[in-house]
Amino acid sequence: MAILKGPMSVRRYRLKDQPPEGFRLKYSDALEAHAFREPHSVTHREEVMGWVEHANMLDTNFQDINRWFYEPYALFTLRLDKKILPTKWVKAMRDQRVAEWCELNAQRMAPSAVRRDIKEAVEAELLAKTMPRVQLTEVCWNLDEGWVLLHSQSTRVNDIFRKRFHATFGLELHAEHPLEWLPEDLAVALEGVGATDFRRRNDVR
Amino acid sequence: MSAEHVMEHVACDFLAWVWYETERTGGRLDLGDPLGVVDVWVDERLAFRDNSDDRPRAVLTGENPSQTLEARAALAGGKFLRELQLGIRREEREYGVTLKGALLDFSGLKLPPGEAEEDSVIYDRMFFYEELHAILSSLLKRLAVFRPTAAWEESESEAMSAWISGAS
Repeated sequence: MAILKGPMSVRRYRLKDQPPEGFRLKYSDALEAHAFREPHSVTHREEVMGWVEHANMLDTNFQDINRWFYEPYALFTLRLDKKILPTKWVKAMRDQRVAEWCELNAQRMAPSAVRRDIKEAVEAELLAKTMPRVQLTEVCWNLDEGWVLLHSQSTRVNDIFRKRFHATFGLELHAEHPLEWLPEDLAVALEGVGATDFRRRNDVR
Repeated sequence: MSAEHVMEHVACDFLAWVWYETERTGGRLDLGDPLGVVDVWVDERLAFRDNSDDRPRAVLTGENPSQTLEARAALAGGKFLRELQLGIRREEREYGVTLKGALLDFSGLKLPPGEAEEDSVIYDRMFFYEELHAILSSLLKRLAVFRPTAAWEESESEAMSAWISGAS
């Protein structure tokens, strides 16, 4: 886990609003309600997402708070699974089975409906054998100060994370801008000046 | 247009100013209480972009890229600094980080080695992370105090432009 070991690449978020009183007691249930769940079918190919324990991607039990909450930090991981079929295998197996169908039925070509059915059957067969590509993205939330680190700078993962966080805790996040590192008067003053154009020795407004 | 795009100039100016300050002062900066003196240097990566681009167009890497003519020429040619790799030392603790984009995302952040036991590593790591964040916030505050003033217009931007063009 890179938040605990090795180099970190993070985006920092802030809560838009203060959490309601007593909501810490609901963390475990909220995380578990939005935890990662294996799809019902092995042929499921859409992306599956949810929270897992920071130490083990197979662990979705958040009831023991001591395993993921280190006052004031909550640690958990966003797991994204997607099965990616090997396109060369799909094409090769489909072509082989289409050829077998043609031979069996004494036809030169298979109708498009047959080709489609064969392709779907091949994909289902391969999906059942294929392990998902797993993407794990760590989250560290400082509950006292209201900031959250996400160990990803990918736009897609950040979008998914913000939505999932909101769905889980009912709290909106925004990516923290450096101006928020400053007292308000300085932030306003700095925001008001334009970018420095070093070519002309004056400012571009 | 998002807020981060509107305010990207803050990050670009900050990165260029930090680079300038490290060269002007030799990299030893007194940030006052409670941080005190820190050493800051530009490390092995700078990336520039044109005004119209989102992605970096010119990336300089290797040993001391900030000392190359190409680096200053990029700024002099109107490019904006979008990524800057910094080394920072406070007391015996040394950090490495690349600041990226309008949000100054921390990328490739190297924290000092901690001494905590396994179940309390998080406290070491977050202490270091927050110390680095405080140092960078303090640097930004220095710029924010100075940047909107007449003194900036009259002397600092002139001095930076002269530095960029190689006249100082």
